Amino acid sequence: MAENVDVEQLILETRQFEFADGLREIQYGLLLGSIGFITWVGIHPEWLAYVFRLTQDFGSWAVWMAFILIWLIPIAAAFGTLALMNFARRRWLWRESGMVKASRIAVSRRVNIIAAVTLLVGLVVGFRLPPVTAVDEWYAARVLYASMGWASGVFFIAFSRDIGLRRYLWIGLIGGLASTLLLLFPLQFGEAGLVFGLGWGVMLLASGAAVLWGARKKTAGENIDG
Amino acid sequence: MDEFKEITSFDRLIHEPSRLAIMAVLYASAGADFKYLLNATGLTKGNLSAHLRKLEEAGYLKIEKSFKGNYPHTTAALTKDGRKAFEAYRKQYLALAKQLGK
Repeated sequence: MAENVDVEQLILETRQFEFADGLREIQYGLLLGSIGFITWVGIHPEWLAYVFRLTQDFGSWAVWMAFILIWLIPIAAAFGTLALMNFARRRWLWRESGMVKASRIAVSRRVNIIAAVTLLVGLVVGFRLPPVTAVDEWYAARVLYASMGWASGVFFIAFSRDIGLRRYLWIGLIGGLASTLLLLFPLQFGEAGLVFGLGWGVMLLASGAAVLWGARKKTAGENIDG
Repeated sequence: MDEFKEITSFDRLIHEPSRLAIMAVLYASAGADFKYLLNATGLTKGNLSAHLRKLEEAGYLKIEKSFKGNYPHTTAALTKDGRKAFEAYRKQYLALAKQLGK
């Protein structure tokens, strides 16, 4: 043990450890993708027609059951991936390095405040911008999703600086800029939600999968050497 | 002279390099197991055990022992007091470092 302990470096490395294998991004990606999907499905005419038929056959409780069922999708995504994450880390990824329980405050208050402020500013700016598509009943929804995209972008950029992981900078920049595209197309509420969720979901999944692949190769290399 | 006074007022339990490393790792997490602490701090098993015990006796951390299959599994996490103590220590040394940097 060296006499000079670099405390800040140790703190940073431990905070980074939770995000070093990409599994958190995969979890967020699946969660966002599934929320986008149920936003679209939940108000899709065919789904609503199906729920209406259920109501006629079984009564009004069927409506609640139907919506609870579709909300199970993101819940399963969140908790299912958490269970898989813990399993994969215990069995393979963290077997040699040891286990760390992530701090409940993985993201600093500063980063959350910056993201919240960006969302509010984004809403104001979005509604003041001359619309680039025809003003329709769904423009407000597109502004909301675009603002959420900008806030998410700023969140990842600030988080990247906070935790010193460069890939989040790119995720924030690409995701934030791409979210602006939502304003350009005449998407309805559900469609905008689907595009938002799937766009961020696919990007986070791809990033997480790439990092996981590298982490898995490194672990396999350590097993061969060790 | 002021800087010297400042250094002597540091929490000696945390100030010891090995324990400082342990506290830093646990501060950045909600807990870590023995293996992670070994790898992160570079201490020997005996040394790490001794330092963890000392910090536990001071009320700065709590240790949980369990079994994963047939293997003992030890995890450590900072207590509220430990977290407060480390934050105070960190604030002190960062202020001192800033002062010395001038």
